[in-house]
Amino acid sequence: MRPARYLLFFLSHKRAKQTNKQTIQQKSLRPLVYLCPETLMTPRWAAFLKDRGSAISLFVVDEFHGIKDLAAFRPDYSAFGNLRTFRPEVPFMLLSGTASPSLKEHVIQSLGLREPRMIEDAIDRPLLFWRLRDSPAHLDAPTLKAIDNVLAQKEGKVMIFSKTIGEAVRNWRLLKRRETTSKTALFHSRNTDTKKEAVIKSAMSGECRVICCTSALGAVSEFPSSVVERTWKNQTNENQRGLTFLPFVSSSSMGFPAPLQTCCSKEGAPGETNRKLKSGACN
Amino acid sequence: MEECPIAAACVSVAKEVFSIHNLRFGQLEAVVSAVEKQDSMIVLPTGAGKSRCFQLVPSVLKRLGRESGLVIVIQPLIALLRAQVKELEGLGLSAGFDADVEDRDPAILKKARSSNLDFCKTFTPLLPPSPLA
Repeated sequence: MRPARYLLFFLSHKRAKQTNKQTIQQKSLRPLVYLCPETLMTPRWAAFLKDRGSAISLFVVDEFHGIKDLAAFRPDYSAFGNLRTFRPEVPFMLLSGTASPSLKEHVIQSLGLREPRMIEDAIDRPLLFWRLRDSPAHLDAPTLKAIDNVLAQKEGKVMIFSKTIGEAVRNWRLLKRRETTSKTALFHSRNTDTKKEAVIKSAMSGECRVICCTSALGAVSEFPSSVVERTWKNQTNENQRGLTFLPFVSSSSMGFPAPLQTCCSKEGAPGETNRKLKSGACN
Repeated sequence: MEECPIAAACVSVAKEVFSIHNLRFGQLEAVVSAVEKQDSMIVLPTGAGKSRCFQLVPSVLKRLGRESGLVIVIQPLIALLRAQVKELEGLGLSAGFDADVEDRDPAILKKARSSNLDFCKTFTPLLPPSPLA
């Protein structure tokens, strides 16, 4: 297990290596090539950009908000400005579901974009109902009651984020023993890829409505009608500010991280959504 | 814009390759920007079809009779990266991915781990194989 591999998300090392072999052994490169930021900065890709860069039509940076948000930990993510130096003729297409005006300005400057065409629409996720709660590391009676109340709502789902795998497993065992939460799933980084996929499919289909997880589960927005429990207290920490990669586990002085504020509908501002849930059966 | 050859190619590729009969907001503009070599910044909600914006580009270039070079997509999450390649292959398109960082300097994490444990804890979302997450 190589340390740098820790940086990669969600995929077992064995699987990453296998798929990579399949890709780079192709005699001719495929028209769409997906890379993670760290891979792009490997010597073989740097050499490719230098020698055969004229064969590139477009650079796409998905989740471009990471260029700023992840700069501290994934420096390669913020090094894309070099791409323009290598290949100034190749256009950039940047994509994000959440970007503040200041972040956009930062990215435009750091990548040296030339009067980019801005294509934007309201970030409105009307199907996403959520409430962020801090709860004890061990689920207590009020929290269990709140979970039951959410499940009593049509299509209500709960995600319980724990700080460690051990805490997630403890919560999962507790919930599995209860009648109303017996179909609780467990998701953490030590799961196999197959297991992870099974949990996500189960959650998407509605078969499983409670997931005990660690921060390894990041795609919260894919699960509508969710209530997020976080089993540790919100702490304002300088190091955590700006970490919007996983909004539900980052913190802010307001309690609601910025990305969450932008993902509510206009009619349901964060506070309003919160009240809506509170006024329902949640509490 | 409908009369623009790029737009026409985009509409026809979307229909024939992706079975999309009506392009969603922003997709056409995004493809036209890429073909015209203009930078673009797309901020749309989840599920709005952002990925299609660049997935259409190689086929549109080909349809226009232009040389279709590589479209390099930098995607931070390998799970998404794999899912998209799988989906494209299912549509009969050729796509690949490279997620190997074997020859990267591992000093970044080593530094993080040795110098500041809080740093590692703070960023546990990025360290899934560790005991923390």
